[in-house]
Parts: sequence; structure tokens; C-alpha cells
Amino acid sequence: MLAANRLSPALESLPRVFALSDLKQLLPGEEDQALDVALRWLEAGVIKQVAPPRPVFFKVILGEELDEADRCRGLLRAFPSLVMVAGSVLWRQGLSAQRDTLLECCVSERELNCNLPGVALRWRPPAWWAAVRQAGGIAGDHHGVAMLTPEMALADAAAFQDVWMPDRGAVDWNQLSTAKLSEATQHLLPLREESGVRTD
Amino acid sequence: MGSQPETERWRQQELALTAVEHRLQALGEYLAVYRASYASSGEGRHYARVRMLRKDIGRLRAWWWYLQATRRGASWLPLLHRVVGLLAMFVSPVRRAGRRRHSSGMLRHLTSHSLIERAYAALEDDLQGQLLTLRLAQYQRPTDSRSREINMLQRQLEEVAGLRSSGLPEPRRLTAICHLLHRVMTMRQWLGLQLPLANLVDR
Repeated sequence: MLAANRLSPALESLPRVFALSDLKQLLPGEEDQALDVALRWLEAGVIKQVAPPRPVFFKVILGEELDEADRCRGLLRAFPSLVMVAGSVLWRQGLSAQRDTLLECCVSERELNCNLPGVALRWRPPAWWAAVRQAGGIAGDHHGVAMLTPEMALADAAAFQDVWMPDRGAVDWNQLSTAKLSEATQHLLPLREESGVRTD
Repeated sequence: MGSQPETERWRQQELALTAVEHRLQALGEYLAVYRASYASSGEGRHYARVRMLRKDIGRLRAWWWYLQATRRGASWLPLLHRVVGLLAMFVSPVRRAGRRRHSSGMLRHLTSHSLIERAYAALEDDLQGQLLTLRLAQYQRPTDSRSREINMLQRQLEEVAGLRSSGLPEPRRLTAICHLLHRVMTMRQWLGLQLPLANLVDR
């Protein structure tokens, strides 16, 4: 009990999103305790694993939702291959009048279980990252998360058909380049055929 | 029947290989995203990250090759150890912090020792993450099979802790091994010879 009291301030001194390694650094010389402390917090429901079983957590605070920066931070720490896609990209780049309800991102990991509220993860094959690179399909980042270009986001949505996109009328087509859209589609074509999506 | 220390050594080698493979996978995924970002923007900060990640991946692959060779009992190991013994004298001692700051102030160059140690620490963190997931589920709905899984993971964690504390050679020797084998791997690549590689996203 005494030990528990001594360690209890640690949660307040941690950021909203943290990794087990951060907790270990807070308990120098008592790294073994970090696991017990984290388990106690998980059992009490004051923290959750971002994407079990990955050792990344977020604090659960009643009435205080995670902001976008924290959600991105949590995702980045859990998924190295993270790239933002689909309507999430179009909204954040000012090309869509409709806002996404879920932040959609692609990862190469097969395990897509994620406890972060307002987030949806999609799987992409390893060749997808090479295709995105060859097409120059990244347009900066949002809180550190790489974002597809709008053209690549459209091509990806058409190729995989597993993401949310705004209605056609809600997209500002004037800001899109037909040549880039065509190039992005060409690069994703082999993956589209592999994924078994009808091309006619 | 193998003796106990031999079984333990085999198990440690297996864990070390797993740790390096996991780390290679993660760094490969970071590299895929940074390469795509660099190809799109041409920004120097992305290029610096790509370069640094490639260096780290190269040294980790070299260490993976060394671990594989040790496990197989490769015939060239005695020669390597002799050369490394000589080279290690010229390797500068590891700084206390174990890393140098990149000129950008953002990136950190890890020494080979820190790089490998971090791979082992990452495996330990991953296993602990799995253990926490299982323990939480066990707390909510206990089952016998999960209890067995938890015991097995705990044993694995003890082994990884042992690996971290005693499974790494002296920093100078480790640095010499990584650099030497990395160069040999580069030469083999130039000569078009196949190298045993762990899977990576978009190499």
C-alpha cells in the first residue's frame, strides 16, 4: 500500500499518451515496478492500451476527450507504418466540405485492434508503400502522421473500397490534378488487381 | 540430450534473433514512410531520417547475420573474432550517453551498442505489453489456458532480461563486428550475391 501511494503521482506526471518505456523512466531503478503499476492502472480503468498488445497507453479522463494531436501521437507510437488516407485527408487538406467521423489511417500490420476513440485502421500490403513513394503520393503530415496527396487518397479509395469518402458534390475537384490522379491510379493498379476489386 | 547451459545459450540466441527481427521490421516500416515522404517533398529533414534509418538497419542486419552465424557455428567466425579483436582497439570508446546528436538537433545517432540494446529493450517492452493485455483479460475473465500463457510469457521476459544484462559483448567488440559485417554485406551486395534478410516493408 505504501509503495502504491509512493508511485501514485506518476500518472499525473505522464502525458496523455505514453509508452511503457516512459513509465520506466519515471521509476528509475524500479523498472520492474512499471509493469505492476501499469497493470493496476489498467485494472482501475484509468488508462487503456492504444492498440493491445502494444505497450502504448492513453489516460482515460471522464469528460475530456482525446484531442487530435494525442490520437495521432498514440497511433504513431503504436504503428510505425502509419499513413492517413481517404476522406480524413481530403477534409484536413481543405478539399472536402464533409468532415470525417473517424480518422482513417493505413498500416502494414494485420492486427488492427485499436482502443482509441474516433479512429479506424485499414490494412494495406507492403507494396502499397512503394507505390505511394513511386507516385510521390505523400503531402506533408498532420501532427506527425504522413498524409496522402488528395489524388492518391482518391486513387486508394477507388482501389481498395474500404474507406469513407465524402459525396462527390462535397469535393472541390478544381483543386485536384487529373494528371496526378491518373498517375496515382496507375501506380495502384497492380495492387487493385491483386486485391480482387473489379476494374471494369 | 544437450546440457543446460547449451540449451540456455540456444534459447538466448533465438530471443536475440527475434529481438533484432522485430526491430528491423519496425525500422523498415518507418523507412517506408520516410522514403515516401522524401520522394514526395524532397525535404532535407526526410532525407536525413532516411539516411539515419538506413545506417541503423544496415548495422542491425549485420548483427542479425552475426547471430545467425553464431547459431550455425559458421566456419569463418574464428577469423572474424581475430580481426575484431584487432579492430576493437581502434574503436573509440562509447560515450556515457551512448549517442551523438545529429547536426539538425532533431535526430540522434545511436552507437551500435545502444542500437542493439534498444532492440532488446523493445522486445522486452513488447512482451510486457502482451503480458499486460493477458493479465487484464485474466483479471476480467480468468481461464486456465490464459494462466498458462501468462506463465510462459513471464518466463520469456526473464530470459529477455537475462539477454539484456549478459547477452551483449563488450561495446567496442560489438561496434567492430557490426561495422565489419556491414561492410562485407555491402560488398556482397555489389557483387550481386544474395544475403539472408529479415522481411521489411518497402526496402
